[in-house]
Amino acid sequence: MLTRDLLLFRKYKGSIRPTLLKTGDAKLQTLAGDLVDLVSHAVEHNARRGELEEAMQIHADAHGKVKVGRGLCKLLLDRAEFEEPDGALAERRKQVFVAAAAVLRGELDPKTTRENYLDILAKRTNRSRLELDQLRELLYDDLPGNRKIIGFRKLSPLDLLHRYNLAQVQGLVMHADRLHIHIPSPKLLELRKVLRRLKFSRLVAEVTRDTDDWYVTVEGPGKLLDMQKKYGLQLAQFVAAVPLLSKFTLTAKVTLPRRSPLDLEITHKHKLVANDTTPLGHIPAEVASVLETFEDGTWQIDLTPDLRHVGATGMCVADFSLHPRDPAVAGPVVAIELFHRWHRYALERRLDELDTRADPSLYIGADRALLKRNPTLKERIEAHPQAFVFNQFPSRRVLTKLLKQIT
Amino acid sequence: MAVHLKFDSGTLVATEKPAGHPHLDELLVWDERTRLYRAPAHRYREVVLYLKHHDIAFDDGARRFERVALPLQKTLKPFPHQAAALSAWVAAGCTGIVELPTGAGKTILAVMAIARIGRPTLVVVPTIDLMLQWQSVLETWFDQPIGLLGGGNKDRQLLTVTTYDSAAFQTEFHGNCFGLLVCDECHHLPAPAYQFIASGSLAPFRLGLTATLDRTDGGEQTAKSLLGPVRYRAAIDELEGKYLAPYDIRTVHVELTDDEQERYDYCRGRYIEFLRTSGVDLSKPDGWGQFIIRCHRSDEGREAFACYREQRRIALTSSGKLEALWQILRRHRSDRILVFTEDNETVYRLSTMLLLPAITHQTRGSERKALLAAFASGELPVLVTARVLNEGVDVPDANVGVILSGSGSVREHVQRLGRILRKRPDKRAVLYEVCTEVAAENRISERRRQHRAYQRVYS
Repeated sequence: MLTRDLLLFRKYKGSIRPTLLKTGDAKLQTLAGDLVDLVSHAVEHNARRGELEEAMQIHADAHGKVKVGRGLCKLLLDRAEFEEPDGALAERRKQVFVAAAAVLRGELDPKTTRENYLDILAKRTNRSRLELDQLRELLYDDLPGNRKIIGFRKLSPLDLLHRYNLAQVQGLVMHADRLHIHIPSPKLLELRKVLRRLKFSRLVAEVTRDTDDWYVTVEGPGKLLDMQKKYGLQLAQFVAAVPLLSKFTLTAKVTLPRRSPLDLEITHKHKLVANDTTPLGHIPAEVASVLETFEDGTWQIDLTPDLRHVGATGMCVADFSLHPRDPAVAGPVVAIELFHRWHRYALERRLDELDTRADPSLYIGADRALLKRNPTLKERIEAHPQAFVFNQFPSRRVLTKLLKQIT
Repeated sequence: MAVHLKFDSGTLVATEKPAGHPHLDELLVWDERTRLYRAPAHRYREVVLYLKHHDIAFDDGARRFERVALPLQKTLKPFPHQAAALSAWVAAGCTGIVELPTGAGKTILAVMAIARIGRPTLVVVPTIDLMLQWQSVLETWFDQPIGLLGGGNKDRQLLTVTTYDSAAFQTEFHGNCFGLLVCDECHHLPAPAYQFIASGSLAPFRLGLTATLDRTDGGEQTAKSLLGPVRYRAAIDELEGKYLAPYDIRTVHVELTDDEQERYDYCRGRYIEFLRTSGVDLSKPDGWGQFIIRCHRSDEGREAFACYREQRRIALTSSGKLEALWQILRRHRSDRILVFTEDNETVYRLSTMLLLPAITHQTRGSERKALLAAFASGELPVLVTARVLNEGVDVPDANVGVILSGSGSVREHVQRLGRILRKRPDKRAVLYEVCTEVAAENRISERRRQHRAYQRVYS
């Protein structure tokens, strides 16, 4: 992700246009390639973060457009992995300071030089002077700038430029009140991938359909009072999947701090590239761990369940469905739709819809964090025959209990 | 028809505006988007007083606070300067700024103001440490739960403490819930991101607290327009002795070695030459930004930038300064010493060199707490820091301050002095300013000493 100071855009007659890079530009590709090489080289030599950042910055700043260079550096550093700081170093450091303080207080005379002081300290702490000097060198090894790089999710220079363009759009939608995505006659596989990402991102969203056209409305972080940053990051994750669609129009009202709202429009013509084009796409860790626990059981989880009609034009995108692993065994297909801490109104609406239009295969899961501050809703969920509660994500135990009840 | 007032995301909205009132025309501006009249929320008091004064019927749907009884839990006997500050503030309509040195009891002044006003109050502070410090003081004086907003806390109460960062994002939601707005260290308020905290709040009563309002960018005028003028001011030397520890200020001049001087002259020459040829004027508001941009456009510029950094590094951490610090450490072996530098790099260099504990913004909360506790107990008698201890955090036991390097800001200098002035029996504080004998640093030193608290220098 790019921070706000790294976003580049133009305002034109009430609209905002992200400044996207020409990914075919040879100079830009060279810069991107050099930066990727710098990070790869740093990994080989376990360079410290501070040194790497400085080298990257010098390189990036030498390019005519400083902001572009710095944006590329930021995206690369986000893909780098640095060693975890030594948690016990702070305590060891304090012990050294306390020993040094004792020497400073008690054993100095007017002629003591700095060098003498260190010699005395080495003696008092039963170290050689060499050991003390080594200790001094490593004293602040846990500072961010001193941490060593240990890994890097490498990408090609072209991918980095595509990633940069996508990050410019992601940065702007972080300031959107609401996103509207029009998807004309989508291919079913593309649509499912995008809708699944929508579910994984736990966003407050509504999906509707009008003949062949699909419409997705997603609330922006500005509409929430709680955990705006986390929600914003999840929204950005979802937006990164939208270019998987062959045709789309994304519109939003973007309100940057201390500026009037501006219209943003991004379409497939901008030639953005989704950041994860693998067949299954990104699967969050909590989903992956539940998937694993179901691997050898009698039930199987399907992460791309059929879309379900609710109301006149509304579509329900279930999070996943459960069905017997053995096709010969007759059993129900159970669709599960999950509602997280932001989904109060969506949950109430879904419960109302189920009351008026029964869907016996659809089961509703509600996060305890959502119910905590809504006692009426909690009562309603507890009394509902097709509802259950969970923490963060339903565990195998919760799902097995539910399946037992159903079968 | 009565004028209906409403609070809308940090603004005051009015449905009607009676004709023939030019002052109201200035206050409430027609908003074509919503077809309503609108004003920044901080004009609420002025609008309401005007409507009342002219017997114009209005219906106040804007504010969401009422008068509440906020009695003090125990008797408070204020110092004369605190009583005088409160009187001046009340006499001026309970708005405005009070300038009191660090350690003079600004928090207690705010406690008295809160009890006096008897309205839900929002206290805005710069850091989470300070937020917790304020919470604990308010809990001592009021029989009320003290709410916190920020640092992971989302508990709004009648008396709430928040940080500038949190308030900047949340004022549009709670700007109509508090009758009194207290901005601690209110010299932060003029920052563009923070102004909305005061301009988006309806609070008719406002109190700004600071040790010195002066800003190098002239932002003090913004603070005055949002909180009110300075109503009371007491200088360090007026309170010295009885309410603040007596103090001395000593300037230590050190020289560069021959090698340092040669390198310094070369680097400074290249840097100044580049400034001259590129036509950048650093005295202009965007001068520094222009310099950075020009530096990155050519090899010559990049070299000039490297030279700028090098000459600065030499001036800030010359071997003479290190020797002077060493002498001070030896001289004050039984004292509690705070060492201030301009940047974190120097902090860590000193810490590694002399094995002195350091606190910067990168120090984790738990380590910082442990180091401050060890400093208070005397286990660690010296702390090296750049700016994080300039304000807010209470280090009452410090009695020696060493300014190895700093900016030209008078405010920063006064705050650093304030760190060592908290009154203790038999305490006499000493502030050392170690200054390299080069023109640039002498000028900075001279600039920051433009305050009456520094008119007593012994070299």
